[in-house]
Amino acid sequence: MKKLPLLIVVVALAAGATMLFAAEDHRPYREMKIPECTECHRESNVIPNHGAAWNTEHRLTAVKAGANCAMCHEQSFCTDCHFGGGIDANLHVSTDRGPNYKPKNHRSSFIEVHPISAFDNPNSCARCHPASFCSDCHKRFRPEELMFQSHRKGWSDLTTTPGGPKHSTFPPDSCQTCHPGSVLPAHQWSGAHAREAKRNLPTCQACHADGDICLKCHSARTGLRVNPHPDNWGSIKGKLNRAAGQRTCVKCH
Amino acid sequence: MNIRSGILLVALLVLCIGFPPAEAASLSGRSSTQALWFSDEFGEDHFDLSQYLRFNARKLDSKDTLSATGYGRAWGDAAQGGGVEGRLYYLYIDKKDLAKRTDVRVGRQFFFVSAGSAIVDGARVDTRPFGPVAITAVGGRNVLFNTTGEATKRGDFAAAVQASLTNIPQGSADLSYFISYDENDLAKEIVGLAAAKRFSKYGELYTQLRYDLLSEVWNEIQAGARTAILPKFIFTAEYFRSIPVFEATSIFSVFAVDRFQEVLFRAQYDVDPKLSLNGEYRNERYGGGDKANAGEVGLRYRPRDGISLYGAGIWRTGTGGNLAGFEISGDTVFRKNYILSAGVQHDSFRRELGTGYDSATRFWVGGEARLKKNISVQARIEDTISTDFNKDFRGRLALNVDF
Repeated sequence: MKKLPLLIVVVALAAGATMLFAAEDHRPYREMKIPECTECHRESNVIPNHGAAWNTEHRLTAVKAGANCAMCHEQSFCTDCHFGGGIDANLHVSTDRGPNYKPKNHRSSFIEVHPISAFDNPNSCARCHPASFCSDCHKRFRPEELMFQSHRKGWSDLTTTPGGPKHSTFPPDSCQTCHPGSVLPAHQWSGAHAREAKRNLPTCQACHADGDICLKCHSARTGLRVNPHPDNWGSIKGKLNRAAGQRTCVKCH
Repeated sequence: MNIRSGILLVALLVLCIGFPPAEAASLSGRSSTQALWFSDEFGEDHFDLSQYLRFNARKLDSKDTLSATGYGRAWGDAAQGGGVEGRLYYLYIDKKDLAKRTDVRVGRQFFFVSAGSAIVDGARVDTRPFGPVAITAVGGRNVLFNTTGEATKRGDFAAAVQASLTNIPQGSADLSYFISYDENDLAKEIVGLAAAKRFSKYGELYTQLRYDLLSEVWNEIQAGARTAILPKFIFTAEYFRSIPVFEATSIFSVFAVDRFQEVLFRAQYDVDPKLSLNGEYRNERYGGGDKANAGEVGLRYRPRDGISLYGAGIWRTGTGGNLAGFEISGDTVFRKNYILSAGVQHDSFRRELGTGYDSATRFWVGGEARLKKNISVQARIEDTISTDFNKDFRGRLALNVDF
């Protein structure tokens, strides 16, 4: 009886398979214009899939078996955007540093706008860029100049008096003048880093590829020994350990 | 092209020797010679010279079941030096009907299934063993590109298998499994499901799910519905959720992460064959109560054949900063063989920790001239003006020869 649900599913799938659905050969139409495709598709009750949002909508169409993309597009059409390239250079498309295409969301000065875009789907950047791509640029900046709350000196923007100068305008050797005998929180690590890291950990990985800076506090052997693991750690730690050949776990344990 | 790519090319050529030659093989493709100049973010000037080549050889056997396909480029920076770099995107041989209802592809190739995608040096088998079931199995050396070349190490592999039902009326269903190794250690293991079903004129439902077996989390969940029941009007509602999954060999795989969620509504309305409108609204949530609202509204106008104008505005408010911008672009074809294209993008933005609004504007203009039936020249220049750059001038000149 335990196999009954499985049997029902198999029978249902078989019943659904009674009508043979053959995708139409689209090769004769490859030179047609998109509006002409749309006109025909709508008459056949097929919702057009080459509309204004094609960039974000095409993935499901492409992965299905029998996808007919290749009838009109070379594989270079995929790789030019997914892995760089540009043999069919599009007049609308900019290039990045080197002969690679930029996707649509890399608009105006993306160097300046990308900290905002990085809040979007954290997987989206990694589809095209290895972490080293980000660190090539970021490592040239001083950490406190980056737009991360956790990397900024917490005291530097505070004014000494209401309307007075900011702390950052004073040289370090003048601290004791106003704070005699104090333990000053210079370069104090901000508590915001945990929130930032959980929200977009690939950004951390961009500069700290080996995680050494993280392990100063999160190691089980040294530092503050802060546990970084997710809630389901108990059930997955064995899998990760076996998968990575213990390469990962021995870094902390 | 590195040594491995060269070995691959030779191996493919040797494979070809084993097949009976066709009477009249055909070769087609494109050669594109390009010059690109730009200044990088640190003000250094670059002048890249690139040679792209794409080809497709068919009718290599008497029954036209064998073909060879390739695409790659070589380039060098004439201003900065550093020698010639190469990148081979794909180079494979297709053999149709190698066995009953079975096709085989051997060589470097890009594959994508619902559980993941990769470029591999390996083999792919597509077979329809029984009834409506189609099976794809693909795998090989995982080809990883970095900024200038390949970063694959010894023991890097990627593979996938996908089973599909091909006869669902107006629909599809694919179940797949993706696995990758990092220097012989298991790095990723993901199961994917993609399905879609159309209900005649009423619309369609679709979903894609990815479950990471090592971290036991849903890497991605996407589910949506589209309808075109109203004439000329397409409406989409979609839910998307993702969690970044790191390779098990990375220290970051042991860290807790928040999930990203997005609820999206999208519409497109074709007023008439000349004018169409599109709009999109997204509510994004990053975890810990952080969120943003974003959207885009666009208009495309085609007054007559060969002329197209597009205008769009975007906006975003919430965690991370605020952004508002627009773009306008247009294309015109004249005397059939000439295309002129131009556009402008402008963004006004305030980043989360910034105190005021900055702006950035990009202008570009491009053109294409078809000199002969198989020869065309393209040129494109752009300039970006922003808070940090008074100018960011870059351009591309391409000579394309189709054969």
